[in-house]
Amino acid sequence: MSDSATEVSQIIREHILDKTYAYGTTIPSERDLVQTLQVNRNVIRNAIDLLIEEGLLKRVQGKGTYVIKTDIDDSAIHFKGMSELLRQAGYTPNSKVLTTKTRAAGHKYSNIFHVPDDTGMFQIVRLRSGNNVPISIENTTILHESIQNVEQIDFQVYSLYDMFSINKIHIHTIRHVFSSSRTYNTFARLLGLEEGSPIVSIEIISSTKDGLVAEHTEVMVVPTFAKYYTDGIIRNGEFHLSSQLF
Amino acid sequence: MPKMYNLLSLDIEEQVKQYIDEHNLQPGDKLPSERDFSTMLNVTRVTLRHALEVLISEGSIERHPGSGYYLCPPKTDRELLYYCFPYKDCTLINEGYTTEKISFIPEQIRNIAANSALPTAFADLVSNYVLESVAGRPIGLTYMFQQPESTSLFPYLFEMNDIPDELTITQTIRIFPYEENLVEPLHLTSADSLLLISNFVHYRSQTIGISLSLCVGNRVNLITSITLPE
Repeated sequence: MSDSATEVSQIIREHILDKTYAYGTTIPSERDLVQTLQVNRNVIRNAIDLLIEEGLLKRVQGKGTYVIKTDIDDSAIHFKGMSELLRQAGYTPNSKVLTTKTRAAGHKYSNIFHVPDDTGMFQIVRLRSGNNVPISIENTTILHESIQNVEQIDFQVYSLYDMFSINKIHIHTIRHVFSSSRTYNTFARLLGLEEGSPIVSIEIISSTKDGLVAEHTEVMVVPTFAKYYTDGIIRNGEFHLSSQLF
Repeated sequence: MPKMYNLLSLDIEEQVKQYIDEHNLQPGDKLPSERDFSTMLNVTRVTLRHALEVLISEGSIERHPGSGYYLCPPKTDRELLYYCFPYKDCTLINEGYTTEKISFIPEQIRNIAANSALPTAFADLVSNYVLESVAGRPIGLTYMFQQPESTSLFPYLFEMNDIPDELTITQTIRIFPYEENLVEPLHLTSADSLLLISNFVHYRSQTIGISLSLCVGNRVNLITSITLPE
């Protein structure tokens, strides 16, 4: 990478830090930056790539390049190194929102979150893929009050992890429960699997230090991607998921 | 706004489970008929059936053809940390864990063991094949292989209930294809699915043992908890 890309990235970084490019907005287009900074487009692109790698920016197809807090994506809370593992395997991870819903906790979530049935919850179902190859479907539920203006957040741009950290929620313990199941109908189609195909299913509960449940997620994993989610190592009597090791 | 998908089936699954809890149904109890249930939940029979299908495949209920739907026994909780050392897993033992020696071994399992990192020929490995059950219900077939030289240090490696810190274990979990010859020993139905859980036990950079387990994935909860650094 040329020195000028590093220099340009430094200029953009300063604009992010002094809030000229505010958190949650897009930076100017590459074409505009070529004009303002008077360097060629390749240099701009390389500079942006550097900042994406650093986790300050995130490119969203068809939308622009956003200023974000971290590059840790939605799996960050559960599988810190998942994106890294997938990238090493040649996949660019991507996550697509299938549906979002504001709802009452009801029977199921009142038990999981230890709250009354009528507590407001926010539910989001997403399809994770890599290079357009389906990897998993994640059905996540959180307390509605835990994230401000949760309906307005674009979860194609921001991760739940970003939102938790902005809202001062610090995840301390993550419980994973692995089993197998089968997938049908809409989910099978979205995962590119035949009707009734076996899948790895994972239930995840993230809690804070005080033992408050912050998030519940159910994941259905396409068998060929199981290793990124399930493989682990036991050392000195402690279990670590490979995807947590990065 | 992104395109919205109709995921009604998720809601129906919740309502069916709510019905089971609120009516305090016990394992073996019968659920309402499809006709009654769909009227009760105000959905079509097709929609209801889709949700029931998911609940069957995840091991909550089972279908007895010509008779109806019945509640299954609860799934067995197992610590992933102690998967290959079941006698260290107090919860599992308390649930009524038992083993029974068997001689049948699927071709694929034999091949994995024979081609593994163990330096000894397959025939010379110390091996033990067991059918694992909880409260009389089969949950898996486990195939254990140990390096003969390591038996002086660890006489019954996979039966230990005190795991030395010097042991490092690598663990993988995969979907295992459904095989006809597994149906009988594990009492499988076509809705069940299998996980292959492989544990490679290393001591001083040598692989000393391998445990290959075919686990009925919809009858178990494989649990692990991770604490994040501050």
